[in-house]
Amino acid sequence: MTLEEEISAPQRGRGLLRAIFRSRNLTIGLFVLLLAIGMAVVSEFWTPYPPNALRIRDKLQGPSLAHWFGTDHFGRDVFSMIMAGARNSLEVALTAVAVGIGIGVPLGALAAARGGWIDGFVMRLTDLAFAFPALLTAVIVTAIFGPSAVNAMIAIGIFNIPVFARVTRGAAMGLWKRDYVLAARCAGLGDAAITWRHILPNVNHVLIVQATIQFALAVVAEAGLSYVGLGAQPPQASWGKMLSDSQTYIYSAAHLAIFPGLAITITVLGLNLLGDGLRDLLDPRVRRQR
Amino acid sequence: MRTAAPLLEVRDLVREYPLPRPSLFAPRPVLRAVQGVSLTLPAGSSLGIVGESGCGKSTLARCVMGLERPQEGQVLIDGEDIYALSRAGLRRARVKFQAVFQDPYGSLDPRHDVRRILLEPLASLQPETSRAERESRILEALEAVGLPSAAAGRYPHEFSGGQRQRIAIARALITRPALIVADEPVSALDVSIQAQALNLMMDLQERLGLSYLFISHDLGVVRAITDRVAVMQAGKIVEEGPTQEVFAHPRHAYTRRLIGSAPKPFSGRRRRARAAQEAPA
Amino acid sequence: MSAPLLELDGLTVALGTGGVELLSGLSLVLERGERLGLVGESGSGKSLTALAIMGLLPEQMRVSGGLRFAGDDLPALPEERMRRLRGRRIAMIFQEPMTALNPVMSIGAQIAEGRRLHLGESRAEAEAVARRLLDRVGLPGPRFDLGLYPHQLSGGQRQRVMIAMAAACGPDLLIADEPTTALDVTVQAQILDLLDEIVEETGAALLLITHDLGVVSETADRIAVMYAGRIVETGATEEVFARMAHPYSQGLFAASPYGLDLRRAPGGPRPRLKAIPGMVPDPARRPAHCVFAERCGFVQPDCLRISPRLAPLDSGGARWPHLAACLHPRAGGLAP
Ligand SMILES: Nc1ncnc2c1ncn2[C@@H]1O[C@H](COP(=O)(O)OP(=O)(O)OP(=O)(O)O)[C@@H](O)[C@H]1O
Ligand SMILES: Nc1ncnc2c1ncn2[C@@H]1O[C@H](COP(=O)(O)OP(=O)(O)O)[C@@H](O)[C@H]1O
Ligand code: SF4
Ligand SMILES: [Mg+2]
Ligand SMILES: [Mg+2]
Repeated sequence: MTLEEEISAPQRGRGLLRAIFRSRNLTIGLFVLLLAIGMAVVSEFWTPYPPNALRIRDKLQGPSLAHWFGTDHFGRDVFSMIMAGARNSLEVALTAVAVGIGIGVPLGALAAARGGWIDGFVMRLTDLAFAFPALLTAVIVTAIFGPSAVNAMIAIGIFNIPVFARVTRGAAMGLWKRDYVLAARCAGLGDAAITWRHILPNVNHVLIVQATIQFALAVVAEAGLSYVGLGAQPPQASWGKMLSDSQTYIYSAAHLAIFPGLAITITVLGLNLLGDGLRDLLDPRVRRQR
Repeated sequence: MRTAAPLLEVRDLVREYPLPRPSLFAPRPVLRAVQGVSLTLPAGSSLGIVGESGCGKSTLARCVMGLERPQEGQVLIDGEDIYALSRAGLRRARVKFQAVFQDPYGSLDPRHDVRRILLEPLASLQPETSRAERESRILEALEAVGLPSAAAGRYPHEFSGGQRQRIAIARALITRPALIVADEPVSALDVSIQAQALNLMMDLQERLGLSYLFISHDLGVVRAITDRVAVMQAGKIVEEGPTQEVFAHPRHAYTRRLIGSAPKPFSGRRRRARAAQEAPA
Repeated sequence: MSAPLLELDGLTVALGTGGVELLSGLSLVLERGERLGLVGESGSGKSLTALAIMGLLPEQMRVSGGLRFAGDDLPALPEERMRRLRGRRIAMIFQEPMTALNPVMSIGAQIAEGRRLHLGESRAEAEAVARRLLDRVGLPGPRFDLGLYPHQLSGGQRQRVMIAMAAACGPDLLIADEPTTALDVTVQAQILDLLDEIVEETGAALLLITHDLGVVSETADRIAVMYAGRIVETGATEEVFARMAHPYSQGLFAASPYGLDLRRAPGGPRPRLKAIPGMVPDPARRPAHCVFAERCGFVQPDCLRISPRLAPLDSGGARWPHLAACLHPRAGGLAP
């Protein structure tokens, strides 16, 4: 086939759904995310046992038919707690990433588009944010607003802003030197339009990868905050808190660490696959290859 | 007697770039990339700019395209100083001049399909055009550069370097401009593809009455496509004249050096003969 | 008679065993002191030929046919011995002096590295040689200190550093892949002169890869024109240029601005370049008959049946026989 014929050849289907299901990464990733969200939603109405019901008599049982994932040191059903904790962990992590993206990406894009003192200012600002350890930020936020899951989200989210700002700026800087940006200027486009149409679509792959990393970090950070008592407050369940509570029993009742650990790992892996799949879906170079 | 104003006139253009300070309190040195360049390009003709890399050719092109404000001087298109225009005025004026860039891989946004790439200048510069009008302009531009209409739905990575350059030319043509500023448009292409692209540009010029400001470091290419040529060295034009004449009888020493350095087939023994001459010394 | 320095004897490179052939049956011999120019459009296989000689082909590529260096069968050499050849006896200069130099290593250290590695010299000894080499390639001290970094040099200066690096261990074979494509004419002329002198002084063989007919004509004693993974014409530079027996060689020349006759009738249209119609065939779609047939202006019925082999043209007896892979070679007369 000559290129001429190839160009004229009918195009293959571009249906979004078909594209999604053609990608194994996307399918698995979506499935895992939906599973986690489903668990969180169902737990609002139903869990095998009330997640907060203490039954000391049944404490520290291994997995069994009655308690699929066993029970903890208060005799609470681990499976029910994981269902209930899904909501808290997902909310915190997703919000934290959303805060980071929502503020960090525009900041980074602005710095790259304008350069000069604006760039310098934004970068100094992110330096400042980086200089504060995440935990310290969280302590300050919770010291001001009081400990709660919402404040944990904000604290972790603040820590994500400079991360996304830097990643966006770094990737965008290179793109501003491309000739297609010059061509867009010749078409009379301004900085904002160029950023929206030509820069952001070309940095999204970096952002997607970063977002999955930050999501994983946020789940873990939420655990850390809960551990020192700054995150989810009892009786609210959270995977991170379950994991940190399990430390004392790591030798006697390993299932207490394994199941929340698995829940975190699977969710993060699923999001990773989702991210990879999304990145490919959004990239015409990859999408059209198959 | 002068009738109408020339299509493009560049007057005493100066473009400087500030360099980093050598020390904290030293004054900021400036690099004078373009130092007082004046050019005239009558409608329907083509003017070449040649010179070594770093001599300021691309900087000049960016100033002519209204992408970088020069510190001094004027760029007049149809007698109108583009840097004196309002934003809206410049946008209206841009319809008349468009650009083609060097790198066929870097000049097309990989995320946009060809329709969107071609539509961008049209939607931005001539928003009054109707949907139907835009579609027919896209087909017209693709046809002009010899691409099938089905190309509109494809992405840049699906094309070869030569075809991408055709897309870039189509994008430049879509507003039906009078002037095309081409910065090394064929330097990244292979000889036979380069020949196709140059022939296409010559055809379009004859058919549409286009004018070219054609920038290249390749003297052969400039000789093939321009009526007049300006030789640029360190930000200044050192010689300007009809292309044939400048190549046949270069007057400035730099022009002579440039032409002398260009490799020539059928002169096989030249370099070795010179080495032999110099050896005893 | 001893074995030739470099001998390709039906060298074939394919994607996987029995897969798509990227290079098909290349044969050529190169001796010390010779300058061979390899020309052709992009995708014709010039760089792959260089990589095959260097033993640096990507994993999935398979080499068959003869490829010998000073009598050694290169594809059979253990990687350990190949590494000792590379840089020491075969050196390469790349197109992009920007990316081929290590940005975080001083130029002195980069030039000295080869001598320390291959010749076991001390740092001081190797750096003394590096200084002499830099002086030799036209970057004299103290302006061009060994401690400079690549980003502090211009493109042409970086290419000089690359040449110093390549010449550091006194190689027998220098491969230069488009060494001046990224540079402009005046710098190009200087770099070509320099390469020429280095070959003259050291007696190394030069394999110069370029797409520019002007560059080969001025630098090479002999040229090989490549198309679609094969050599379609080869011979002494003067003879090839005088005759251009293969229609592709003619087409390449006619398409370049060198081939343009600028004369035009007053007021008449501007003369056009003679573009070769169509494009280089994809390696997976190369025909079994003459690979150039689809674009050839002189195609005959037998061209669509037979794949022509590289065969001698009439001028026998010369040091380098003039060969072309064409059933109907042109009689010639392109020279002005
Ligand atoms: N943004 C900038 N800041 C500082 N110096 C610049 C800038 N842009 C260009 N220059 C300098 O201006 C001079 C002219 O640059 P220009 O890009 O116009 O050269 P050119 O002739 O197009 O070269 P090439 O053939 O390599 O593209 C060079 O010395 C270059 O380093
Ligand atoms: N890694 C690779 N995988 C598949 N094909 C390749 C690879 N590298 C090169 N090729 C193909 O081999 C042919 C010759 O390539 P190359 O030697 O790079 O050409 P040149 O140097 O003449 O531009 C081309 O058709 C190219 O597409
Ligand atoms: S063999 Fe035939 S088709 Fe092939 S190059 Fe020669 S004349 Fe052309
Ligand atoms: Mg330039
Ligand atoms: Mg190559």
